[in-house]
Amino acid sequence: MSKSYTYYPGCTSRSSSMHLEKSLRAIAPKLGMELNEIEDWNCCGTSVGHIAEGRLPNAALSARNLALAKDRGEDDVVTACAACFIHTHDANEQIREDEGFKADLNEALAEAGQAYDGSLLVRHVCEVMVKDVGVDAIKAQVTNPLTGLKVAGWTGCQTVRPFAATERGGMFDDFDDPKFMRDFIEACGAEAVEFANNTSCCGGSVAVISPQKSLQLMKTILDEAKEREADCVATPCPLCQQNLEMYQDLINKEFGTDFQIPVVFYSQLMAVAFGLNPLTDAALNQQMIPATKLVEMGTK
Amino acid sequence: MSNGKLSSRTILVVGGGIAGISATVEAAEAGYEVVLVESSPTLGGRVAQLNRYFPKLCQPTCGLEINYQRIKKNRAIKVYTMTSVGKVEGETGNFTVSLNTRPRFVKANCTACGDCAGAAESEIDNPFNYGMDKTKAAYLPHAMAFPLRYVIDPSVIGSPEAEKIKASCTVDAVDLEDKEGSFEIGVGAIIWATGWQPYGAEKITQYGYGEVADVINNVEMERLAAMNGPTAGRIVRPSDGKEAKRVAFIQCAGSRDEKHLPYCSRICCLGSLKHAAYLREQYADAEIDIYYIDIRAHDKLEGFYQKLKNDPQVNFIKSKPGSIVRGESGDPTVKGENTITREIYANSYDLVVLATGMEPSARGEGSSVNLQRDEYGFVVPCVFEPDGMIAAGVASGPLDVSMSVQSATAAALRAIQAIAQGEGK
Amino acid sequence: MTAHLPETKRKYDLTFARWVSRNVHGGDKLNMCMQCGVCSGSCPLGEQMDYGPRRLFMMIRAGMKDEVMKSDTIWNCVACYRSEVRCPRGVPVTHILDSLSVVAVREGYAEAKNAETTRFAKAFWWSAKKFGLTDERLVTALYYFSGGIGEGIRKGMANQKIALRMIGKKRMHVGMPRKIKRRGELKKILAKAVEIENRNDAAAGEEVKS
Ligand SMILES: Cc1cc2nc3c(=O)[nH]c(=O)nc-3n(C[C@H](O)[C@H](O)[C@H](O)COP(=O)(O)OP(=O)(O)OC[C@H]3O[C@@H](n4cnc5c(N)ncnc54)[C@H](O)[C@@H]3O)c2cc1C
Ligand code: SF4
Repeated sequence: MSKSYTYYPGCTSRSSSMHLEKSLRAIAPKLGMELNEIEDWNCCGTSVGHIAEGRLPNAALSARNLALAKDRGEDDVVTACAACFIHTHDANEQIREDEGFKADLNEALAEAGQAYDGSLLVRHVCEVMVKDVGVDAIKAQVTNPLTGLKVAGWTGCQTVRPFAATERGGMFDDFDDPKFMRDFIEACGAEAVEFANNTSCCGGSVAVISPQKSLQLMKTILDEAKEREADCVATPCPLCQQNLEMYQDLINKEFGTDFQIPVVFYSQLMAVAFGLNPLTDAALNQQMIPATKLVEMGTK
Repeated sequence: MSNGKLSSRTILVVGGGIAGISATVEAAEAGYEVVLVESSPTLGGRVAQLNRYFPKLCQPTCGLEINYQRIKKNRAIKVYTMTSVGKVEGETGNFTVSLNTRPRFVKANCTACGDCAGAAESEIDNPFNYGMDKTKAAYLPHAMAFPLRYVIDPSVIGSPEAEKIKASCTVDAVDLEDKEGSFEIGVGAIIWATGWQPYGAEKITQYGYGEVADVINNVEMERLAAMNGPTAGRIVRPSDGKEAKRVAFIQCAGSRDEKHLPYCSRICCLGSLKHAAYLREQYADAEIDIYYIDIRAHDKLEGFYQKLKNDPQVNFIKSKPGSIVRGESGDPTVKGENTITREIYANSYDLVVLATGMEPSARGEGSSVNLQRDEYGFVVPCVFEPDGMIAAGVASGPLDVSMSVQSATAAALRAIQAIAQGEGK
Repeated sequence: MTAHLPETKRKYDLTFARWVSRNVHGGDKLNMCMQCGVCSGSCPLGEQMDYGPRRLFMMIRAGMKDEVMKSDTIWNCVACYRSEVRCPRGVPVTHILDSLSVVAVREGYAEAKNAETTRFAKAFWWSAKKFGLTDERLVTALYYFSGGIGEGIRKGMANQKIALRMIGKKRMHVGMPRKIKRRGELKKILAKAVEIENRNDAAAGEEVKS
């Protein structure tokens, strides 16, 4: 039986994390998730929008998306991007809690003949997978268990913080030592190596803006992945995936290391484990550092 | 048991820790019948599990033994161990209480010779030592147990081992047919002295309890230091038995924290100071760091704090650490900001002790019982009119032993007043 | 009567703290801070900050307006929310730092205006407003050149290899920027939101004066 959700893909789904989008779209039907895209959605503002124009205009971006989501009815709004999730969820909660803020935003929305009352719930797709789908249902879809693949589950920060252990955030995992990545990896039949850096930060947008400040943070994560002999790192977060993959060359140059560790999304692991095409469905052809072992597991 | 007029002069005390014991003897010595029920196999509560206790750093025996004597001497006291409260009905002056008992499988004629333990092969986690070691499935809770009577763990019942245990008893005290039971009593007032349990340190995920080796909590530290503890009093690390000489104490671990226990437990600062004293006695070269927000050594114990403060091997670091992780050497490493120097530190230790607070035990206990509790789960005593539901000891708030005893004495008086009120009706 | 008491020069000036409490999102919770240090001690970039959140919060209480507004602490926040979820007093640390950065830019502090994040944010906003979407390629280029042509070329060169590889993997869009359909609607909404923000701001200013 499948359940219908309103889906908010976010900007990176069209560019830097297209492989998350593709693989998620590939596995969603198997997990009974019907993802209906918000019509004409816009950018969420990410972690910098408010600095440019202030809090209200930034929240207006989310308000428009939510108003459009509401046109689809009361289905929960689901997104796979950590930044999209916290900014949209946060804006939604503030609309619910702060009458003045809600009134201001509605005044702005009225310019386009729109309105939003705060009635929707904004959720992260991982929370949906844990709570609505369930790890057992994920396991049930596995036809090609990733036996022998060692994966470092790296949750990063914003997927779980600051909302995972709040009521409206779904109470689905811990802030400091979340378990769901491990559960996903094991459900796919792979081995989840111990990973103390589970929620270590890659530097986020500071890493994009001034990489030098965050190279050490990323190196610590890579160091542990290597020490644990992981074949790849798996993450739910687009920014984490991009930073850790993109900066490995720079890190190697800076610290004299020789990291070549593939960084994939949990959804790519699932796609391969579900027996889908590793290149087109799991979109592993879009890795900058090829996840060779995982690709081979899929083509056998 | 009958519900005659006399029974309304009986006082029920729930919980046989230091508070419940004190309330029992005080009320009984004032001429009232007292029924004391305790859910575990022995009286003594958490105090029995301390190594020594402030202010005078006495052995727990000195507080408990004298009270056991008073209980034994007084015929107005009835003690039921392995018993807890089911339902309470009625009103002040006239309650009907149903009590539920668990089987002990050992009768009163047990001489505590220990033959049954000798015959037992299975081992269980030793509750007295918070599971830090094992005990036989036929066991004496501890050397100071009251009653001094063995217990057989239900896990072996029905096995050939149980028969072997029974056969080993020369006085025929083992009763494998012992069953759960329940009975009713009538009482005029009830003193709740159900005490506390250590706050679950594993819930403070960033402090790594249960994940990072050699991070323990403060009640485990008491057991490590105790002669009758899992290491016979040697303070060593659980992972490899290495002497714990560089030790960190993390104050307010989970306390004064909106996400955990929002209140101050009052005794954890002194607890850690006491633990520092244990370490300094045991190892001349011990180096101790105490991480604190502010030290709350209340009134008469300020002197104890000052003494340790002057000890150059005991450092006080004003900082609530951010996290505890496994360091490169495998040692637990404490990370945070020193708020005086603003230095960001990462310090490694042999052992890290989380000073966790006291949480009212059995928060859910007596859901059938209409007990007034405050926002933290402590039982609120009714102050303005005599009420038959009275709290004593840590059940009423985070108290040390002497304050618990004081509150127990006050509770005994309140119970007597409530009975007088009930009789006047 | 006060002949023996010394002259005191420094007074506790709570005006700034009160202003922060009313006008910074989450600032009303600042008075809950007990200076325990968990926030600064949990920060991945704590060592690179001039003050760190704990100290910054004390400085707000002490009325050190300029020092706070010029601080690099607000710009080094990586928004990992670790301090926020760990704070024992429920102070929304990340939200407050975030909001302070908005205030610093608005109030025209040079440090804030020239902060890399601000320049990046401006470039980003340009794309969001114009297309309704982030065009990572254009945002990055605009940001690189916001520091002058020389810096733009230097940064661009340094990242050229990465960019080419991203394009090769179809993870960077080439060609005309993608756009949402009803850009006019979005533009109107945003313009109105800016207008309301300014209106609210002016009201907050009046409140301080009165
Ligand atoms: C690490 C640490 C060190 C400490 N050191 C000291 C010290 O040095 N000096 C000092 O003064 N204080 C110290 N304390 C505090 C001291 O332990 C308490 O003050 C004391 O235990 C309070 O006694 P109590 O009788 O109220 O509770 P407890 O000792 O908890 O006794 C409660 C009893 O009630 C029983 N019970 C619970 N629920 C039920 C039920 N529903 N039915 C029947 N029975 C029930 C329990 O089994 C238990 O036996 C320390 C505390 C800690 C955490
Ligand atoms: S963690 Fe919270 S209470 Fe502690 S210093 Fe930071 S803001 Fe203040």
